[in-house]
Amino acid sequence: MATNLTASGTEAGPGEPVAFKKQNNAKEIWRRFRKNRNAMVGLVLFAIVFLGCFVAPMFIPYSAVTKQNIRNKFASPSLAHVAGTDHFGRDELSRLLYGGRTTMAIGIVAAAMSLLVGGSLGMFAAYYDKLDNPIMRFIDILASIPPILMALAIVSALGTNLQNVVLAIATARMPAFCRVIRAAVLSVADQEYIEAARAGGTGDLRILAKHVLPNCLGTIIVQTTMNMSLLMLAAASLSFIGMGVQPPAPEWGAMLSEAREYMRQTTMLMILPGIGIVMVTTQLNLIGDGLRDAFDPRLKN
Amino acid sequence: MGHKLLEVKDLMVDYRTDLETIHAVNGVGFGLDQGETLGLVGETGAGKTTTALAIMRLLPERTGRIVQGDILLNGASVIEGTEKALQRLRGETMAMIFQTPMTSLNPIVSIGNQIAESILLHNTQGRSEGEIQQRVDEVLNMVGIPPARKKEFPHQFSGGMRQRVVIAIALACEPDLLIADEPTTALDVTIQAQVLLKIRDLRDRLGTALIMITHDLGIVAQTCDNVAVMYAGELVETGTARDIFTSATHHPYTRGLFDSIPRLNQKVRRLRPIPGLMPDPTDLPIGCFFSPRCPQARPVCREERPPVFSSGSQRIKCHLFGDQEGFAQAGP
Amino acid sequence: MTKYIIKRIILIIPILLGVSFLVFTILSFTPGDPASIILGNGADQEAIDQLNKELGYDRPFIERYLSYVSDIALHLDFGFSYRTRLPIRQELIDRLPVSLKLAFFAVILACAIGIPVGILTAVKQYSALDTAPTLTALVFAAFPTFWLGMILLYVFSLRLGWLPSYGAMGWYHFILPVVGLGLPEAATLMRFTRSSMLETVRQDYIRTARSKGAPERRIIWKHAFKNALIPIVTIIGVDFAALMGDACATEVLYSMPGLCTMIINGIRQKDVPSVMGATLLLTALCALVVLLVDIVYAYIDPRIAAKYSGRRG
Repeated sequence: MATNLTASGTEAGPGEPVAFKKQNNAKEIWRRFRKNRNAMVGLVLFAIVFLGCFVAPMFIPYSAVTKQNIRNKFASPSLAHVAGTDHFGRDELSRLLYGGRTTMAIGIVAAAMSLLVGGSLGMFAAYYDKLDNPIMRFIDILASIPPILMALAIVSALGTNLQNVVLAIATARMPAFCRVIRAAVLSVADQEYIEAARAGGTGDLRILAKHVLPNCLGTIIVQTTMNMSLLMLAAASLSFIGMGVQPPAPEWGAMLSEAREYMRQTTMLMILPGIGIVMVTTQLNLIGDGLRDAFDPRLKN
Repeated sequence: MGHKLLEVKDLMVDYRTDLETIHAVNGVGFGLDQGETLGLVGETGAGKTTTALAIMRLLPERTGRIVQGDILLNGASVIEGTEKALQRLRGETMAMIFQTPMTSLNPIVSIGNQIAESILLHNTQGRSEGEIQQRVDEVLNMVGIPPARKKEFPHQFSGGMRQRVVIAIALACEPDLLIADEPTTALDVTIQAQVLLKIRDLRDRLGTALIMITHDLGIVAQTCDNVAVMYAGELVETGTARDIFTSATHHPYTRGLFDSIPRLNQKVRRLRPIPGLMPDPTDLPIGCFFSPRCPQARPVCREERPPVFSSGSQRIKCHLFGDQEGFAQAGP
Repeated sequence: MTKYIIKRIILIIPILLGVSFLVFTILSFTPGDPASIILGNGADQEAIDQLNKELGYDRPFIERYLSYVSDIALHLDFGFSYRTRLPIRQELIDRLPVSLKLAFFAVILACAIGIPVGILTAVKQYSALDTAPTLTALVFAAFPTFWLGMILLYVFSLRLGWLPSYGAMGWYHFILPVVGLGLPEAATLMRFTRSSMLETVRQDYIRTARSKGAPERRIIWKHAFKNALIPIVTIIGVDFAALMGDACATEVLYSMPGLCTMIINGIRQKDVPSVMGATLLLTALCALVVLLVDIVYAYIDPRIAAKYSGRRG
């Protein structure tokens, strides 16, 4: 029923050339995104947390995170320690901010890595028929290992340091990226304008860069946002089970793992990092939902 | 004149989204007698489907809104009817065939069960399960599908066959009114004729009144008693099929429609398409909606809404007929 | 249908081979040789070499892999633990039920809450019955299961003392872990059910059903729900692998003797055969769940079964 209303996308009088409203430029997407209240709330809150975790540590010396003061352990919030102190008397607020920075940085870097490797594999698989089968069968195998087990196997073989944690969760998430980007490229690659570009003798790489990628940008951005929150959760849970970031380095999951031992003494330590994780993942999900609706208004219900 | 089955009075339908309001139907009125066939003709976007959905009260719940007017089915308002009353009307008194046979059937329910559902929902005769199945076979035979295939699923049928299933669903309870919304547009040309023939044949056999929505004047000529030409959400011309096809005087849009189709029996050097596009339904012109494209438009056409003039059974909504011999003003 | 199921089972074999090869390769990067780990520090080099030879560690990589896989395939022999020197098979058998129960009941709980509430929100879209659950789910879906688990543990075990905080002896040991694992999953499932329902309700065949005069209740359950269920079933299968990850943290949190804790202990103690065995078993389990889901899928959707049984479709 809505299909016969497409005339609304065109406006023309006699003699005037038919002008189609551009549906997908950045301005229009931003306009649609801005109208989405949930998404805007998510974006603003995320910006605050993000800035807090990435800017504030510049003014807090790292020693505040590690300096122990056992006599002052489990201190209640005060002017000196706004969020109190932990079981070693370390300033909890500094640890939260530094910890958030670690959790978010892992999520962001891992998402970028996953996107780069998985996305390129997916793109080439979709664009070159010959590569499709070998790449996708390999991805099928990768994907049938539960991500956590994949991450654990990698951490087990390479050791638990920050780089390996990023590598582990990025690898574990890669198949998902690969499949989504492949599907997106496939849907674009058999469109007429790609055929036309090919018939016009445009090189493959140029077609991919100039025609295919810009048209998959929506999927790429939405997927990356959504996966960032998943990867942050993965990083936190890997650290929680002791196979990720190792204490005393602060990381929200690792901090929760430490807090577990001191539940009887204080609940503060186990509440705050958890709230941090829930906040950031919720915000990213809201932003992701908003972006999805903004890029593809048809999906909006 | 038989008993008035359907009366549409000054119907106005808007689609409202948070961004814009689309004026899809702007004051449409017509009547339909028992057993009569009305052709609703016009371009894509003229509001034909919206009118049909309004009659069935199947407009998209969130956006579609009947702003004005009334629809009477057997004298009772469809618009004021309760949901329960409507459910009894739909399928039993009025039924609809949609233009998308490929997606109109539930993919995971066998076609037999989809037809049976229609009968079961309006089982006023108190048919038993066996009798319902017997009726399903009957209906399938009627539309030309072997009853043996009733256990099969929609994906096992071609587009034309699926449209037959949709027709079977619509006719299972022998409704008084059938609305066929471009029933053949999505089909291959060879299949189109078959499906059309089937609809006409069943209409004659069951005495169903039919609203045939189409942009194909050929179909109208073959099928319809009366014709209504729709443009930008209003009826610009109505009349008997004879009026539309033989009269010398027409609304400029109707003439444009005829000029833009090729004819085999006349020597026409070149087709004359109507210039321009239908106006933006979110922002309709002030005067006559057709005036921006009308070759005969006068200044008054761009400023005032045209009244309706009539001559015999023919009614035309156009300023040009104010001084035309034989035409008298028949409404605003 | 039978043909379809057989075909799907056969398709699992190359996947399992690929997975085992991949895991074997990754874990072969673990620093240190088995004998050094078994004998510990201070063992003399000769003994180490001798034991490595006995274990077949001096053979080429591919040979070791093939013998490992064929031992599993032919004798269900997963080797023995470097630490306890006991067969891995027995430990797997002991621990499997714990992981299975945890995952199974969590999925049941998630479906029991997520699907009905998801439908309710879709049907009552834009009303309070939609927004309240949707907002709750939005937050719950973002809950790290281990954090929710910690809160539950604190409230119901430490404070109220109603339920045990560790172990997996009786059914009541499973209550907290299952709720902690199932609730966030229920939230995810609810969100998905909602959007799947909303998408389905917009389809043309729903309009056809309305045009027949079907009442709203019938349209929702008979026409929309069954169609919406197809992607929902798929997502349950896909999410099962992700659930494994959360189950890992849950097992650790409640010190449950499941397969995940076996892997983590194995990593801590460099007990490669334990890690390998448990990883492979869990992966095979996930593959089986996916298979099961695909069969259910084919049962709901006649188009899928037709594609594989060679009927015209």
